[in-house]
Amino acid sequence: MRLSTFFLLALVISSGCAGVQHRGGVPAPLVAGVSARPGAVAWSPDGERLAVIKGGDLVVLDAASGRSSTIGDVDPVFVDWSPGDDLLVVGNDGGKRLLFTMSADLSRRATLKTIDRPDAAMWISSPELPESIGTSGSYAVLSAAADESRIGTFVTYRLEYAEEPGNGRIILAHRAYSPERKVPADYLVGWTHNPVRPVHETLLTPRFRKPPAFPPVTLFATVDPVTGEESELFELSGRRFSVPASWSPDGSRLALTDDAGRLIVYATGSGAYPEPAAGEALGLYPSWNPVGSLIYLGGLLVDPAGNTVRRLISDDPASIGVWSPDGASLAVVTGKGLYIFSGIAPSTAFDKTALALRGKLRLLRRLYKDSLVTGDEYRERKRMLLEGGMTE
Amino acid sequence: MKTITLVLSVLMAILSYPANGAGETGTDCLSCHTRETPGVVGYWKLSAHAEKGVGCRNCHAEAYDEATHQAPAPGRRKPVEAAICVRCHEKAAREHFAGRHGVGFRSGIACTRNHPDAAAATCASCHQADTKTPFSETECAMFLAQSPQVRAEGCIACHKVENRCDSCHGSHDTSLDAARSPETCATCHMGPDHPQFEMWRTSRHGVLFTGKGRDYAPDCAACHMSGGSHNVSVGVTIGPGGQPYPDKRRDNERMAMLGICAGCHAKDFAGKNLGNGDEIRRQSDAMLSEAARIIESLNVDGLLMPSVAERKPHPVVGRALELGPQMLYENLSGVEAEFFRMKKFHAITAWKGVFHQSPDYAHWYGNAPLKLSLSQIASEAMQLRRIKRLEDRLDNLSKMPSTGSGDDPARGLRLLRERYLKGELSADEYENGKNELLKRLGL
Repeated sequence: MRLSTFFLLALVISSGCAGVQHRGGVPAPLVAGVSARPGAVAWSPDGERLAVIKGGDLVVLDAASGRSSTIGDVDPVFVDWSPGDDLLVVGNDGGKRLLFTMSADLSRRATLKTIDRPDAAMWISSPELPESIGTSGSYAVLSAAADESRIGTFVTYRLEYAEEPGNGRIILAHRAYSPERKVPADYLVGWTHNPVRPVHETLLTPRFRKPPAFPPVTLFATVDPVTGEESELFELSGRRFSVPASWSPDGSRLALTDDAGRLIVYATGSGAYPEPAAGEALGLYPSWNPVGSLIYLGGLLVDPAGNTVRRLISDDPASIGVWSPDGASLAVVTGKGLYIFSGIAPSTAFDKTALALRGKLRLLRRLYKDSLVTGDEYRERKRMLLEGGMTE
Repeated sequence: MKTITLVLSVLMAILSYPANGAGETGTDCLSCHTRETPGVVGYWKLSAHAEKGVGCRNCHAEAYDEATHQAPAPGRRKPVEAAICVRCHEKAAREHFAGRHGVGFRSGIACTRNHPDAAAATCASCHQADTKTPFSETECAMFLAQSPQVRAEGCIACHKVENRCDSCHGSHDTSLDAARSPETCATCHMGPDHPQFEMWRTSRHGVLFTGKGRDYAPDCAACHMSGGSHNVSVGVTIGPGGQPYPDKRRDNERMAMLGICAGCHAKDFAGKNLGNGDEIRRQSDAMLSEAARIIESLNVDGLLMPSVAERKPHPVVGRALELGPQMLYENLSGVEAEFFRMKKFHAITAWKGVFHQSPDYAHWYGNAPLKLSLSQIASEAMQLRRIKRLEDRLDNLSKMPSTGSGDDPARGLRLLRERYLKGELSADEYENGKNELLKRLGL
């Protein structure tokens, strides 16, 4: 059944000038019963397989053949795929959550740590991992935990290495204060959608604020994992506690939506107030493709200006798009299940200057960590590099 | 002048009073005590007790052996506790025990968190009715860590107020003027930990009270013992350890205080002032949390000096970092000592200064030192981390004779740094060389 469904999809989806064509009505999902939430789907590093959370099961799916294998006793809530080809899973375990690795054939499992709720975590892999913060391990885990107190909630954004099971080493634990006493769980999950800022390799630390007599806002800031320094980016008015955001692959722009679901593409450093882009896209979870030419939002592929390039899914603003590593395929999770759209050709090539800039920033960070440059020198040279990099 | 008048009055009372105390039966106490403790007898003779016929044995019956008329051995004489006073002053005692003054010793039980065998009936001594919320989060580890002398003179002397009406009323004098005097409150409610007396005295309330008298401005009792009530906690919106009250009780207490304020002020005016106090308390708590986070992080990284493991064990939590209500003020690292000042002195002063209408205490004795301390803790944490990095670097010099592998882009910088640390280069030479190498690296 799954195989035939996949081939049906393969028939109705083919590559075109913009990479996607969608004929006929709404097709059946490739995998039904997948929840549309961050962390429900992850591509393998080679872009050939998908890990999917389906109810309480973990499914590994071959993207080409549609063949799948399932393990049913892990109760997963978040899945990612490591560069070493292991699955990295957050699963429920009674009242707590477990972080564990699992081989891609679902035969071996190793628990890394237990965490208290409310907590959410994701793994970041080597392309996003700043070598300069120093590790001999393969994986790093990002997590966000809420510590609710009588004066509000402290959200702790953590970056740590899990070099060995149960032996995580904390690189950064950044604490942000919210005056709200209770933090919805989706705030933390929303953050894990895309927290690492590419090129800069800083962490996004959104913070909801609801001052008396003023409209509520979310303050978007980043934290340098090496120095722990926070840089404020902008404030977004809105009543949502959770504002999922997606970085452009060069780290220069952040895609998010306002309370009405309209796309906002904010160029950091512009100083402008974040305004909605033109266009018809409405959704919750924007997602840049790996070359920065397209954004998936609520069933549409749009360009960074908000213009519709192609409609993939109709009327599902809560759907989430997860791009394959090469950007040629897009897994979309809707209320109905998982769809895969393949053959999406990027309209532009990735800007290689961003990679050069990332290399220099990594080197500078490493020099600072080794005390070869001072904090002031690090900040000043980083500023100069970023200003140069952004104008190139 | 007042003192001279008082002494003369006492002496005249001693000389003029009959030899046997009014209300005395049986053995004549005064025949000896007029001679041996004339001051005590003199005060009593001037008191309302003497006037109403309340004599020595009405209060001291348990204090000595009636048959032998022998005074108890030194150290065994029972003090006259509230249980004696309550026999006549039942209403005042009931109010007293409903307020914070009435939990002074019982909070001492709670502070040790060491009462697994306590009978259920005693829960209400420390906990709010039918809840696990304690009346107090008193830092009694401080008590346990002190010498017996400091405990007696520096702790119990104030905290005995629960069972000892004479904390405010005096032992033999019953002068209401003295009991109501703000200076009586100041015996305990002053100083760096909670300078309410100083705040009030320099506030508009205190200035008018001092200059024009009780009819023109409120003193401590006017707001905290309104209507003569002995419940000093009416209108206070948090528990004795700063713990929050349930919303309903908090709102009721606030309305009660606004009712008191309304005797002179519009409720909106007073409500704004008290609301600002609430907000400043929240802001102060947030700064404390930030400082605690820094210190906890230093502790995790082993950067506190002395480390927790190197210290004498904490009397309650043992060899563990304690920044909460059981925090001590001894055997601490520098950042912890500064945190103690923040927590115990500055934060409290900042918001209590608002509640007592003292802008200078709120700002310059509270908010400003609070922020300065936070800056100092953050700065010292940075220095400690920097020292650690340098130590790590120096420790690794011997392991890196050529400093880095051949393809290490930072190899030149490492070599330069090593030469500088060994003293082979001046600071200027090192800076110039470093800038040149960074430029070559495109940085």
